[in-house]
Amino acid sequence: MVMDALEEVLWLGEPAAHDRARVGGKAAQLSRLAARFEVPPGFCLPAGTAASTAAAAYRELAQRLGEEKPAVAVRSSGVDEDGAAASFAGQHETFLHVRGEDAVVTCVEACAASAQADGALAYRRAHGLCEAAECAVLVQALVLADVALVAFTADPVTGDRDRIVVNATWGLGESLVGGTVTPDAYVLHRDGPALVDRAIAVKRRMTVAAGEGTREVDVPASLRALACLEDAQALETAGLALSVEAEMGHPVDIEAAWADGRLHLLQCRPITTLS
Amino acid sequence: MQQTQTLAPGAPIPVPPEFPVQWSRPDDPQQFWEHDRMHFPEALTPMDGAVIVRLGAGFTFGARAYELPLDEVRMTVINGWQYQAIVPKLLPPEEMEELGRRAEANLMGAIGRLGSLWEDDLLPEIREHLAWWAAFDLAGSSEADLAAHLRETWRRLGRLWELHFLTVLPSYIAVSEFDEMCRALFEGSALLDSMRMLGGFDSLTVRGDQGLWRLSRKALTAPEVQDVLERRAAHEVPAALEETGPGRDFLDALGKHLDEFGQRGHGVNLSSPSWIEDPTPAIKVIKDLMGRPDGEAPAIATREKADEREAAIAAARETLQGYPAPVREQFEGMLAAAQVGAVITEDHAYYIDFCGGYRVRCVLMECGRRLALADALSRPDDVFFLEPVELEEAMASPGMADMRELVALRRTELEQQRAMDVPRHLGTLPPGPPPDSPIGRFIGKFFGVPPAPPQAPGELRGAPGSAGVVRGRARVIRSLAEAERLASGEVLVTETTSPPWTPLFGVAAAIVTDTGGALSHCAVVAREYGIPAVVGTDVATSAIPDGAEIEVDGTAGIVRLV
Repeated sequence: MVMDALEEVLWLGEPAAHDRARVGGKAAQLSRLAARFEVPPGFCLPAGTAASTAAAAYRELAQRLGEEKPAVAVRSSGVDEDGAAASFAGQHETFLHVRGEDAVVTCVEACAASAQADGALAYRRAHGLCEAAECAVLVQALVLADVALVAFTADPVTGDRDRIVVNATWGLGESLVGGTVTPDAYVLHRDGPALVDRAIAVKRRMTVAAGEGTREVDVPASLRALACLEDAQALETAGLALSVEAEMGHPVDIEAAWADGRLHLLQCRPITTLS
Repeated sequence: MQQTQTLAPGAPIPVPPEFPVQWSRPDDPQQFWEHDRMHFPEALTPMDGAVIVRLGAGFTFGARAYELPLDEVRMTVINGWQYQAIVPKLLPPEEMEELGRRAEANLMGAIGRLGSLWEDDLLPEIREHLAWWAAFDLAGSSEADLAAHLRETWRRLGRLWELHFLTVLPSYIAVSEFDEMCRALFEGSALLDSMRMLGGFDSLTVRGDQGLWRLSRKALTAPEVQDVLERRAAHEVPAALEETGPGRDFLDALGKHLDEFGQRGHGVNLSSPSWIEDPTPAIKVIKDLMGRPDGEAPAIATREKADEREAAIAAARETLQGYPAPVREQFEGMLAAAQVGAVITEDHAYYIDFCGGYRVRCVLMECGRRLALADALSRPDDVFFLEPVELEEAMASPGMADMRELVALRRTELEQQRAMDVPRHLGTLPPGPPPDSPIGRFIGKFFGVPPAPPQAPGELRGAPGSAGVVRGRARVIRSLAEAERLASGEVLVTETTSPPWTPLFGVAAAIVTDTGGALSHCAVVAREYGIPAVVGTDVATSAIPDGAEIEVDGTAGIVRLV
């Protein structure tokens, strides 16, 4: 029974998981990148996967990680999501720091349902995509980030293709992506890359892993105005973004994380707003 | 008080006609003067007033050493009452901000090495001063040697106050900033939770109380001693104990305890006798402790606090697993500093306020004895009604001046001053609230902030000082001299508690104060004793009738009349 169920599960990095028609754009890209970059291990559940399969896959992931109840990130991965024409950023659900079979199954179901939510449907209509969304779900080991990062291989505001912009905040990425905190911003020239400008912000809030999920708390006063990256780390982050861009063949926006002195690649999207 | 609150920022504060003010420096009226009821709840003799001025100089020294963004701290005495003003630096905002950052960096530097700062730098020097006083033979000294000793005593007392503020500024700010960090990291957890991670250490306060407890157990083993302590009033006990062998044995043990822990009077006031001179307060505490079962031994309470502390720290560390590594490092650093700071905030008072104060008092009393013998004073403790300059002149030629009339006048004056209605504030209101800084945050938590208005009839609000809910009879105690009125299991209601009040915490079921915040001495000690405390109610001593049944909710910071 369990073996049968696991046949549907597509593990990141394995060729079967590169198929965007089955696992969605987001997961297919990550699966391809997993071979070359430090992508947290995980699996994809094609649309319509049974709850028992999700539970079995989580158990298998736990075994591979050697942990009893590993914390995971559960994200939707739409079949036409993260294509070069529309990024879908933020339109679908993401659950961080999910632990235990029951919680994982609940979050997988919520992700599948989110493809049908009003916001996502409106986005699909606006981008001329068909309305009947098929949504795969991506489950990955959670990186307990010391610093959350977003990097663009083009200036997202001016469109300047020579510029790389790295944003960084304390903790998990939710406060950064959700916009509740002003991040440290590094601007780099793609040749090198070389640091051009650095603006250290007062970072008042951060997302941390807590209980079965996350919560946003105040950053301790002593760390608020402190740069959360060494310059060398900013350069390394920009280097990662450029490598991903080279692999993908177009400008990208990546989510990444520093944890225990290592840089992890979490997400990759095309920058769809460039003319 | 009401008047002060309705004035516009920067406005001069009207002086009540019954409290005439004579300023000593031209710009004094422009400063914002506050009466610190917490440390100075009583009118001061001229000699105590002179000590207060040195205390202000010590505060200024400490503030400058850490480059705090202020010009000086002035302490003065007006109509016998202490007032203090923090004189601000008049600089453009950018420069103030830069200064603030420097002060924060200096304080954090000191906090980072707090244990070594205290053990290796400050405490050895404090001990050297104490040893210098102890080595001088007061009774056997010549007039000239005593006069020289007195001059050097003033110099060293000034230095002790400097060391005091070098010590307390980083110590209290370590505790306060650790609390700030916990509030940020563990939203929804109250201040008291961070304090649980700092409790259960063997401070000298705790050790002194353990000594009194052991004496109470010793008293229970000898029927003659037990009988005297149970039947006689505290002040009659020493003479009665002298009459039996076991009694003398007990007095001997009490004497040994007081040699170490009895160098304490009533706060910073040198004019009140120490326990060595008058052991009545210690005997009163021992009498109360004798009625307690063995299970209430302070060592057991301390061990429970230590277990609670380790459990709280383990829970915090568990939670922090989901936080960024730099946050965990900062937490560990601040925790270690705050634990050291929490002990130093008690121990510094033992060395400086108690032992240092006692030594200076002994010098002054010896001068007083010589002057009384020369008929310059009526009795030795008249010396506290002289100014230091007057004393120095009198010591130069003890037979020349007769100051008995002057002292009698000043004694009468002090009686009148004691009865005065003391304005909380004088001078000029500050232009705005102080900027948010570690120092500002600490001051709010130490001295307290105005309490919230009552939400229901028969209710008083203050700050939660120590968790727990207790009902009991209120005993309104206005000075330590009245401490005998407090019976075991009653609620101590008082304006303030300074370190000398500590033993009463072993007697009371709960504490309610007019003044102070969650980091005030009262709150800190109440948590060590595990009794509920509501601090900073502003009005408890006037609003709660003596003997009334009240409920003290130290968790919520509410007192209810029942």
